Amino acid sequence: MVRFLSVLALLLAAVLSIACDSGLEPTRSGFRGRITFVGEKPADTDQVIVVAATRFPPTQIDEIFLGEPLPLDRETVDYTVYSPITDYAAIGVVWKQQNQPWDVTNIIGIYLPTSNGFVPGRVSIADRQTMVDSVDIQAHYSKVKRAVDSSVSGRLRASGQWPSDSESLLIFASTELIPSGLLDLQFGAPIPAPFDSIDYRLTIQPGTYRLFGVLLIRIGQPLDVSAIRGFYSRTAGSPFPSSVVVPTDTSRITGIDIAFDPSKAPFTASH
Amino acid sequence: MRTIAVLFLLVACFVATSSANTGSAISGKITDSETGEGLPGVNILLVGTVLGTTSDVNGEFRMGGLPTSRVDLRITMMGYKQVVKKDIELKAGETVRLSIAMQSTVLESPEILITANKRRQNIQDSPNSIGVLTARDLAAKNQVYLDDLLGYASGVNFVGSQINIRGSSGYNYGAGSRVLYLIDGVPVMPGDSGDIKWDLVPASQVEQIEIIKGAGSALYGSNAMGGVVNIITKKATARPATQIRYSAGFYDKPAYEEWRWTDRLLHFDNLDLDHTRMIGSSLNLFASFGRHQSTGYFQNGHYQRWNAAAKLFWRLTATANLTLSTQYEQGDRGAALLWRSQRYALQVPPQAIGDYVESDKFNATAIYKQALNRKLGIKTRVSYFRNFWENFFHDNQSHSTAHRFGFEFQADHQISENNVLTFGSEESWDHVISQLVGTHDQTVLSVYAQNERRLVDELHLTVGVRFDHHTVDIGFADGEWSPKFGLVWHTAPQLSLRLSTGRGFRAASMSERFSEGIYSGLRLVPNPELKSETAWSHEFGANLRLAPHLFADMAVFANDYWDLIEPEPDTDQTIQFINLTRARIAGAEVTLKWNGWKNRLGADLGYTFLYPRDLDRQTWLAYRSRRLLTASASLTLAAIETGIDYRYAAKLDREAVKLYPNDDRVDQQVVDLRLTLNLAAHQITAQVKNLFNHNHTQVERTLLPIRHFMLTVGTRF
Repeated sequence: MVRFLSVLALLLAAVLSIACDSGLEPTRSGFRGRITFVGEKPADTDQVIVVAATRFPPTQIDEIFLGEPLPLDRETVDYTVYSPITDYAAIGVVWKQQNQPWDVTNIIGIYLPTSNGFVPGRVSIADRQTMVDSVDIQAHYSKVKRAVDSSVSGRLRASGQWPSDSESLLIFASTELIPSGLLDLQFGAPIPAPFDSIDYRLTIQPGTYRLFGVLLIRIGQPLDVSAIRGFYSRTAGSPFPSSVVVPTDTSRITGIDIAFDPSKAPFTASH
Repeated sequence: MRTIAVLFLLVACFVATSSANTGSAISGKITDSETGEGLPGVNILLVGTVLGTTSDVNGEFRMGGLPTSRVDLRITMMGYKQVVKKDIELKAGETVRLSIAMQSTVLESPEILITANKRRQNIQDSPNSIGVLTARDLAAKNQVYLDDLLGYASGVNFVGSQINIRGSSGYNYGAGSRVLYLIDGVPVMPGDSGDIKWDLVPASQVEQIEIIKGAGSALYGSNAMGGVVNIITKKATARPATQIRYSAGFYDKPAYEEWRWTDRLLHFDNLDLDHTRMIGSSLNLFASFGRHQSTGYFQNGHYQRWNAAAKLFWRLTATANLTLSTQYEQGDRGAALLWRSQRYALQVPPQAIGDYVESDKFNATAIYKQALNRKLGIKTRVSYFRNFWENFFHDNQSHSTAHRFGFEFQADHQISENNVLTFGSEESWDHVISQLVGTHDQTVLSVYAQNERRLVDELHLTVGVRFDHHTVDIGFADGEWSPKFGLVWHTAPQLSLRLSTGRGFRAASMSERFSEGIYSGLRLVPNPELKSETAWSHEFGANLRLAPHLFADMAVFANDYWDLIEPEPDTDQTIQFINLTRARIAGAEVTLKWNGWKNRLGADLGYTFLYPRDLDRQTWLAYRSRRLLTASASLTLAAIETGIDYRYAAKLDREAVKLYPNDDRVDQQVVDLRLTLNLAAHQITAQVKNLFNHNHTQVERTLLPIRHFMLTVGTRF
């Protein structure tokens, strides 16, 4: 009898513990703010969403958290993204073209709480009740990147010591000689570091790029002008960048080779 | 097509040549000694031969074409004492009629016969771990679809619609399965996606489910890398019988106000009816019809499905029979790939509202069996499976039609009383016309042989090998050898030990090889050069009787994988299937079965521990729960039977998922409760599923069914 009652008590305890655990709950934490759209919405707009990245720039798809599609019929939109407990390194607004896959580098706005256009604002969701306010973003429709066949390709050559905290190298292109912020740059996919020499191909919008170079991503370091490690120049060793012209959306520009020293930032002194 | 026509001709030739054979026969009725009622599903074996049968729904059986000699008959059924009828004298042209009353008993040993090894054998003689859901289990669980049922089997876990046997499959978005799905021993998997279509055969058409754990490619070839699920459908019987079952129910309100998305009562209902009868003197017919519909418990979760099935058993001669069977399913369902957000977990993103899928499936099989003599039996099978679907998504509209033609010849040779050789060849041809994968063909040509012999009194040895040659129309070809070795040692009446090792493989499905396009904003990139993935599966197990009413089965296992085909997402929003992972899944499994109080009380427990490692990356293998637990208890008092079932799967770690690692994840815990009133031929069952309304996901961002209530009424006449 005692054994039977013990088993019964054990079973009852097990059932109670199961009954008390309700599993998942609705997310109540997250961040919110206002999106202000600038410029005219392109006719081939499919969706615009808020994207949060646990690392910037993200190197894995699992570092990205996608919000819900935003209404497209207004100039300003108040949004809320419900998100689990996480630290986000950057919050952005991403544009999606009709009949094209998502491209999270198609950023038309970044949360920039300071005047430094290269330093995205971090958002930290500390607990299940945290709702971070005022994550306001300006989204520029002029920055949309359509699906194109145009590209720039060449070879990257590293000479010198890679810093021990090197993560990856990012190819970028800027229509401005001195870019004012991240939105002025078009990026390729991160290339794992270190390496001696590697071929690259960057899909890019038609245009004239006055600065075409590489940025070094280091653990915990901001992605600003000081991260630039080299740029394209027709004259080897020249301190002046050369322009790269991509005339049409089918142009394939080749031979854009960049030699750089991973340990040196060419623009740091003058910046 | 020419090949298929030739195969049909071959079958016809067998039919013609066999019609001259005659012999003696045994028929009879098996009843419960206490109640006098006929016992269905009783196994009847002619000792030392390849011949055997099972009793029909009324307890009747018949075995024809028997040799004119003295034979022994062994009659077994779980929960009843074994009966052996010795020295039955058979005379040419005569039928011996037997009346056998079986005595109900507490479990002596789990006497279950299985056919998953291509021939009828006692489950305890199999060197592999095999799980069985018997007709009794199916009736007690009262589920509509087989995936819901299989979730109660020890070591089995579902991720989305993908079955994992001891963590074999993980999750690859429905493109390919590492578990082979058989209907009455015939592979039924579409050529395009190569996954399992659980809605083709509803549970109402099924008599028994057999689950082989570990690699089964030595007999079945591709897909049987992590295991085999063999569905045994109901038999066409001689005595007329009709069964009708109707169930209806509704979903409870979600646990949280934020998750409420409609004020409507969300409900479902299911109608299943089947009929079996004899036509003329040699034809038995089984026909089944079903309609299943639901509003769904989440937005876009609605579905409506129509099922039909027919089986014709034609006793051609005393020694030969032909079984024609077909299953059909037509349906449409809403499509909900991901929830809107965890805040609104039962809604889909606004743009996806109204997305739906239409589909139909058709399967037809002809199996001709003939006992050439008491030592040699042959089986020839031709089969055809068609799978069609069309998506109507907000961002995509596509369709696919996959045809699979199959042929198999098999022979069972009882070389001596202790030595059986099974050998044969199998061929399949897939033809796919799809907007997702294009138009492609692939063929598989195979030969196999397996020898089972008793070395000494209680030591059984199984050795087998199969070769598969696989070609794809783009010029891709490869060949795979799949050997197998197994030992079973019945050391004592209370203990048997088993040891097995075998190789398994899976050829890439066409979806994995050729998928191209944009789906849900992700670009799928084809990879025509995908190699087959391979595995070695090793197991040591013990089956023992711990006490008069308590049985245990224990196993330790290790499965090594090479070139696993996995979907690899990239930062540029592309997904491509690639040969990626060197992996190992090791683990242990314990199942316990107890019956007491004159069989009125019963309890089952199954626990599986998995250690699934990606050896390349030194991380956990994705989408494998490391601990699985199933438990059930039942109590029968006169006409009332009550039961409770519990399922647990440990939550997936951050590194054990491919997408959204930061999402909340919890253990999966489901408790179901049931109460059945048995009134002679009528049955009423009330069920609460997910009693405690536990909210959990398996695949990312898809909440599994919330609490719902169901009432079922059934009758048989």
